[in-house]
Amino acid sequence: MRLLYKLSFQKMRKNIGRFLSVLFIVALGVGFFAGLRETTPDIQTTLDNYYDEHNLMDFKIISTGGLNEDDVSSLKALENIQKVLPSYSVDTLINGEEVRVHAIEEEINNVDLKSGRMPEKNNECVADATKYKIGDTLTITKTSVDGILSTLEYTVVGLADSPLYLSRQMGIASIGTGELASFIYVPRENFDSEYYTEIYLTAKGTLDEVAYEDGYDELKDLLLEELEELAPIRETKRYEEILEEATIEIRKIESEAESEISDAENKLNDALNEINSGREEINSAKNELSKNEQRVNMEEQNGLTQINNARTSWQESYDLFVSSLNSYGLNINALDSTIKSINMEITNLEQLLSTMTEEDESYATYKGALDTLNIEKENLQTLITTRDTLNKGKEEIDANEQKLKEEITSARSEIESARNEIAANEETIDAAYQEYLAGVEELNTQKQRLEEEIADAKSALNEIEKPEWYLLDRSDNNGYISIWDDAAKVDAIAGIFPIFFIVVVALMCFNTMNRMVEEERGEIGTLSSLGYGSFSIINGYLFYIFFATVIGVTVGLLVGYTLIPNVIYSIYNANYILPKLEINMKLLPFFIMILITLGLMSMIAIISCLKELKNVPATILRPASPKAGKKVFLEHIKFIWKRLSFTGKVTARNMFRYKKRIIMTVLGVVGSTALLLTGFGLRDSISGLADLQYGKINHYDALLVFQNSYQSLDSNILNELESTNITEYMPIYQASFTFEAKNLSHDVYLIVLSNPEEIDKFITFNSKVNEEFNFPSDGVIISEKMASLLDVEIGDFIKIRNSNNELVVLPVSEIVENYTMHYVYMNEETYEKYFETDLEYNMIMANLDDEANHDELANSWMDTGLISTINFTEDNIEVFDNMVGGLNLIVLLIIGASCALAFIVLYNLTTINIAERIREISTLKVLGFYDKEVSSYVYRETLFLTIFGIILGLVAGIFLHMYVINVAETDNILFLHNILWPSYIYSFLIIIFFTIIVQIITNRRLKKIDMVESLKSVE
Amino acid sequence: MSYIELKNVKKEYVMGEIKIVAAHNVSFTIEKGELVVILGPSGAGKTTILNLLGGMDLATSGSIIVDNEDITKLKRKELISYRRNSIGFVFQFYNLVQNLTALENVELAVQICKNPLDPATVLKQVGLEDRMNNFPGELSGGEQQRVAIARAIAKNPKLLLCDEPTGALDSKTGIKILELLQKSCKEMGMTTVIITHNAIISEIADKVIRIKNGTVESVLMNKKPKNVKELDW
Repeated sequence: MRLLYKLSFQKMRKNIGRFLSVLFIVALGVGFFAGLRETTPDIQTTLDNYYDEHNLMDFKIISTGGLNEDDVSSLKALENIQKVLPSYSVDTLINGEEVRVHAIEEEINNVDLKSGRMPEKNNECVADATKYKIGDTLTITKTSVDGILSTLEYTVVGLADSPLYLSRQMGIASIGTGELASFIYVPRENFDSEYYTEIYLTAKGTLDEVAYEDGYDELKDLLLEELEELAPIRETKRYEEILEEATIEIRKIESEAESEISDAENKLNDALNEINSGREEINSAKNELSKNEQRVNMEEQNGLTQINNARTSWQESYDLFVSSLNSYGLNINALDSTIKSINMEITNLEQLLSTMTEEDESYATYKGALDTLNIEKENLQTLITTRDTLNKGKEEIDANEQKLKEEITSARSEIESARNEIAANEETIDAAYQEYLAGVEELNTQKQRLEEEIADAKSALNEIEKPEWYLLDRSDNNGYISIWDDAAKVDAIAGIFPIFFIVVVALMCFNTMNRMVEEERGEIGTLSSLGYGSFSIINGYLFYIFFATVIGVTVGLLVGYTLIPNVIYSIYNANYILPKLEINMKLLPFFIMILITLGLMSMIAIISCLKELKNVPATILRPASPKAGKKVFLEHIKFIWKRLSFTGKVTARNMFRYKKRIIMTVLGVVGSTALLLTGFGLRDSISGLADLQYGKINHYDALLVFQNSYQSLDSNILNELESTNITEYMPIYQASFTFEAKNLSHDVYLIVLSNPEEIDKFITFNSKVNEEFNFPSDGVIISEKMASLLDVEIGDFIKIRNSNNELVVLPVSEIVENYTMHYVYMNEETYEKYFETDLEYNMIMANLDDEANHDELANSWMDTGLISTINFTEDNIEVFDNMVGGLNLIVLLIIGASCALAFIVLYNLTTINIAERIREISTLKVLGFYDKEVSSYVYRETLFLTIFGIILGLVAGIFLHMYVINVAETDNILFLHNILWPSYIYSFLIIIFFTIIVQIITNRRLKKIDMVESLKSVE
Repeated sequence: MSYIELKNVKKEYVMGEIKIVAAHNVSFTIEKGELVVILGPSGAGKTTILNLLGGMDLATSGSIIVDNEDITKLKRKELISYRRNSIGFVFQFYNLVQNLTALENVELAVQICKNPLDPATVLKQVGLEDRMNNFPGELSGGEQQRVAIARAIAKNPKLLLCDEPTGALDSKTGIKILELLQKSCKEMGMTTVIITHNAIISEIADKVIRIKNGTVESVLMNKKPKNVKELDW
């Protein structure tokens, strides 16, 4: 027995090429199969570990009414809940980019810190590792909710990935252009809000389940059921709370209004009272005034009467006096002169008397005269006194009259001034009354207004919408579902390629073993005749197979397990931000794979051996009867057969002589060619996209996003912009929306064009439905991939949602060519009709001077303060190429695999072909065929079969490419479906190249064939 | 000057450090139109001489002149040309291409040489006019050998080399084949060398060259070669 094993080793050594070809065929088949099969599980494990490590939420709840502590505690009471974590986030603008600011959480959705550290101070943050650097200062210029953040400037101290953002397309933002660009995490304390913006939940047991598996979904759904029950209850509760708050508010307003009104009323009443008392005072003043007047009149009359009376009695006395005077002969007016003359006489007499003595005669006379005169004088004196008294009396009466008159006049003037005062007071009071009336009127209108206000508030209360809970699961994370979707696509591709490979591998091995056994027929016969049992002989071959298989499977699995998942995973890195792939070298599948391959290969060996061993040793020892020649069907088609050259006929015969080999050659070549063409075709489908999308379709040079939005652009803005290098522009409105197709949410840009007639300067629309494109006056234009995802045609309706989850339904009027992203275009009228709101332009599309330096332009635009963000179309090409660049790796993988397949198949078949025909070949040599002629005699048929295979393969490749494209196409990219002609040529040439390489290698063997072989007896 | 002349031909095979002398001091001549039998037991060096004469191998030393050409001086490619134009070869096991009909097997050889004969005519000459379109598998051993002879003759070679042409055939069929060879030699003037271990066959030869231990033991002229029919098997 040991000898037989030794023999096996010798066989390996002697024909190392054959051994290696079996080994590598096994390695290739198994490696490809296992690698593709393990890719999806590896990705799944990697993702699941990532999710578990960073506690990715199972649900996120947001509510239009905000969330509070009651919501949290009622969520905590649920049966299937694991963790409840209320948190905050808000959309902001930083450097003109849309950035979501999250509160740092430890228990759910914790970030994957890549470098730096977590924040220690309130003004520190952890930021998107793909966008920022440590040490950057981020200033928030705008937030979607005012005042929610107490700190607006943060220093980046750590860079991180977030399990919430797997996809590089982060979703939609409620700020800026509407497309979320990055994220940062800041300490929770920075959020200043009465309510939570979101609550993260994990369900019981989901941590132990594998993401995307049914087990996970089942547990998740248990919680979902509870949440769906709880949601309406909490919504109602919250609604009531809001209603209550609002009602209390209205009450407060009402009571305030009431007190305000009553205050006003009181004041007015006070004023009225004052007015009335003023009036009364005036009236009493008036009364007194008239009384005084009467009194004065009376006093005047009385005074006058008294004076008159006095005057009358004086007159009587005066008259009496006068008459008595008269009786004395005296004139009242002469009294004084009389007395004077008397006095003079007296004086004269006295003078005379003084000059005389009493003794003088005359004295006596004179004395007597004097005495008489004195008496007279005395009498006269008395009269004068009386007259003076009378005169005095008259004077007194006059004075009294004068006094009375004066008194009356002053009293009268007093009365007059009092009257004036009263009149003035009356006027004041009248004015106050007018004022009062105005006040009353005002109060009434105010009353009415307040009543209306309250009524409004009350009716607004009725209109308050019930808050709605949105229960979002992990699919809220844009990449969560789509990466799994993409991985499933790999699975789908993995499904076809390996089967094909395994069929080829099995056939190749079968062929090789068959040939080996046939060649060693003599040896088998000898061993058999020496008494070795069939089992022992087969064992020797099994030993050979065992070695080839175990080594082949090991090499194949080691390479396949590591290389293929990594290559495929690296493709996803373009679209997703992912953790490092974890390669699982699973031992069980490894051994199963070895056992299955070993079983298959052993079966092949046993069948091959038994075919020989069923005969008695003598028969085996005799040469196998050569395969008889046969006419081929072509000979019956006389007109073709006649035209064939002799060598052509020979080739045709030979080709059909070994049907198994034809089938295998053709199959192998068809397979490799189809794979190659698919590989090249994939490259065609991808590489032209960016130029087509951004060169032929969206051929504007830049998008400039305004800081503010405008109903119409005033000339100042335009002048400012035109002063730069803009040659043409069109104001547009652009916003991000989402639509749902096949259970997945997709982002879509809504673009409203201000001037559709001139759109050709910026975007070229090619209708996919009509022969010629016309901008629809009503209804919208959608991009073709969106149309196919939604399965809509012209006349159908599409539903899109904005960042607030509000739904808009739009009629489709046109479908246009488009390759990346989804777009909805419309004119202003259509927008205003369906959105029921006025349009405000927020961007312009612009074409620039060819010489314009983008960086300088961007700076000068930013400096104007008008522009917040600039997007150069040229940059999109780069971004896009980076995004699909990973696919080139898969193209390389496919090309590499197909080349390896082509080489191995051709090499194997050619060597077998030569080995089988060694006698024929040596005969030809004896006959004097030149080396070239021998080669061409042997190779012509292979070459012909190869070319035939290539042609079939190119046809098959078209279909395979179509299939792969359909499977590999992601939802926001439309691949080109046609393969460019150089790809056909490359595929053709590469296979021909390998055929020639194989022939050059085997030609050496051909040359070495000894002519002496021809002299030997047939083995 | 003879048509074919071997002078002191020596052939050594070097296998590792051991030199094996397969033939040495081989000298003989063959005249044009002669039927020569090279006779010797197996292992004597017959095949080596055949290989050298047929241009399938090069002599280590000495000269082999065929029609004024020293084939020991030829290069690989010239040697092939020599084989294709000057040599017709008949194998012990016929070596027909199984996938070609009798006619096609002849055509296969004919298409590459300078002055060939018409394959169909030659096949008629060897008595196979009815089997021309049959595949080797459909022919008997003798018929197959006739095809092989026709293939060799149709090339119109300078020398027809036959390696044990009757070795795989029964005597009756063998005689017919020998008859054919003698006939072609005499009627077409074809210089023919038959290599065999069967001494009886030597009786039909014009010249018998005996080989033993790698060298020529004797060269005998047969004054009166027997007709094949006279042979006593």
